[in-house]
Amino acid sequence: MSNNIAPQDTDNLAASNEANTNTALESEQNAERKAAAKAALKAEYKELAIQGLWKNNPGLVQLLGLCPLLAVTSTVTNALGLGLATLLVLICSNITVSAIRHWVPKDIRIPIFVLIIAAFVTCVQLLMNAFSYGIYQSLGIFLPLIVTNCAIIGRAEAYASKNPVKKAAFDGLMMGLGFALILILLGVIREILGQGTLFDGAELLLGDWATSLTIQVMQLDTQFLLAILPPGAFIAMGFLIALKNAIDNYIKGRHVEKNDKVIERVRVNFDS
Amino acid sequence: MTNKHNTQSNDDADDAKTNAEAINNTETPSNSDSVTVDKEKTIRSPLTIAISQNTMILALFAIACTLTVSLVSELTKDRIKVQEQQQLLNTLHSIIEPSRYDNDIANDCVLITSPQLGTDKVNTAYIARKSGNVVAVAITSTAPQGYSGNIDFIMAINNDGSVNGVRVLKHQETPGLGDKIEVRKSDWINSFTGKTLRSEDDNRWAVAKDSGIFDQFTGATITPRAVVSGVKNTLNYFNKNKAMLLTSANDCTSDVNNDVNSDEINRDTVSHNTKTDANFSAVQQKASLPTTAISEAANE
Repeated sequence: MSNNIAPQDTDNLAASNEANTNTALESEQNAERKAAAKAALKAEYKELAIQGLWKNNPGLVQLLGLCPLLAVTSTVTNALGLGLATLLVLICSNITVSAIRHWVPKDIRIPIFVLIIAAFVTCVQLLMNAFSYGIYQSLGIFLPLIVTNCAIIGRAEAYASKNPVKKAAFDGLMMGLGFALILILLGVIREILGQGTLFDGAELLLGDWATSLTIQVMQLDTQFLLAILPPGAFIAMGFLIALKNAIDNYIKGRHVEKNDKVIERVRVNFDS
Repeated sequence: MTNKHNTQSNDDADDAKTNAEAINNTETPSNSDSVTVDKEKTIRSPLTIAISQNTMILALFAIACTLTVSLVSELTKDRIKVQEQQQLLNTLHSIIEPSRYDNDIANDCVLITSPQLGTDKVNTAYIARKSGNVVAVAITSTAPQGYSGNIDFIMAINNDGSVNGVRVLKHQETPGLGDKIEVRKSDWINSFTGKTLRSEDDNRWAVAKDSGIFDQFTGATITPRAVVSGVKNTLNYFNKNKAMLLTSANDCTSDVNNDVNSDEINRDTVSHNTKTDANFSAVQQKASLPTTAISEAANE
């Protein structure tokens, strides 16, 4: 991003030299400030996305909302249904919490957050009951249990209650996406291992046209029970977290090596 | 801070407190008593104000949330009713061919309770008629001896006492083994179709292992055994109470929506309709359900 700003600056400088007036200088400074602010904003959004999807993923790192994560992911369809519902609730609750953050006294913020989340979950539940009855039935208890998903109240408390609406909404989107991705990934692993299919029962969620989405990945004579039952979910989850940590370590290792080669004394000034 | 800061209501409350304290500490001198009261007044007044303010805000949010939920509930109510009715009709159609009857079967039923149906809950018998004559009856029932809990099913019985079809509605059997009683996993459940009971204690009605006519599954005998005996009991119940079933007055008018899973669904709708804290209590109630809910979801 700094590369983008630099040529602009020289252009502006040349222009101001030609005009050689105070106003031009001021406007140039304003533009510079704006560009810097824009860059900072962009960087912040990027950081939010990285935090939600990878570094601080609710499923893999924060390990919040494990109960639905492990119980519902026996098929991709269920995982997708719960992921979308959670995403929707997370965005809505983040927006609302952020919008009312100036009117809520500190002492009673938690009950109010819970109230808001419960209201949204009930709305989502009613809507799913009305428009995708099949998935509503197969999600069963885990749909209303979104209320108790710590990832949602965690984001409301840690981020949305301190930041403006736009950022809070983006944070909700990214955190929700991160959670949904892990749900879907677990669903894919467990469904392939357990039943040898993908998107089994997708028509329950998406309507009749989705029947053709069901893919028979491999033919299994008997179902692999462990993958379908909750213990299989724990094991698969463990492997996913291990994989994530391995990737992190690999990146870190490469980073350190690079730094060592370029600036060897970086370790001497180890203040931060 | 002095007394000036106190509002009228706080003074009242403090007066009551003073009286109580005066009774408790009759032996202490009166001047020290008044000092403690003054202290308390200065400590409590901002607190009471904060409490009443917070209560107001909380109440406002509760009202707003309740309004939102009731609005959505009101908007989706009809659609949900249609969906539930559709679900019920789909189940009924799968066990009684739609061409065989011409009445509104979902709204023509008798509510029954009998220990023979495996549960002390209310079961429903839907009656299929063609030009007024009874063709078949679909009864919801429960097989209580499943491998992990009750197996709820619905079965259609023709007027001559033969089985027209059985469908499992709800179960918690082991996925991959016992769940072959579901029609989407195996067509075992169709082996009931066309069978009749020769006598009340017909010994052909058992799994092959018990020298009966129904197959068991590899690795799972308890589940099919439970379903066979459940179906048999229900059939016996029908044979005994046929006259009562067919002459009883209709319990399902079109206003009262009785569903196959009436218990579950009614509880849900009730919690949506009773407002304010109902959302909380409903969730808490659900959260405290036994762990079978998890295995149930895993079955799906």
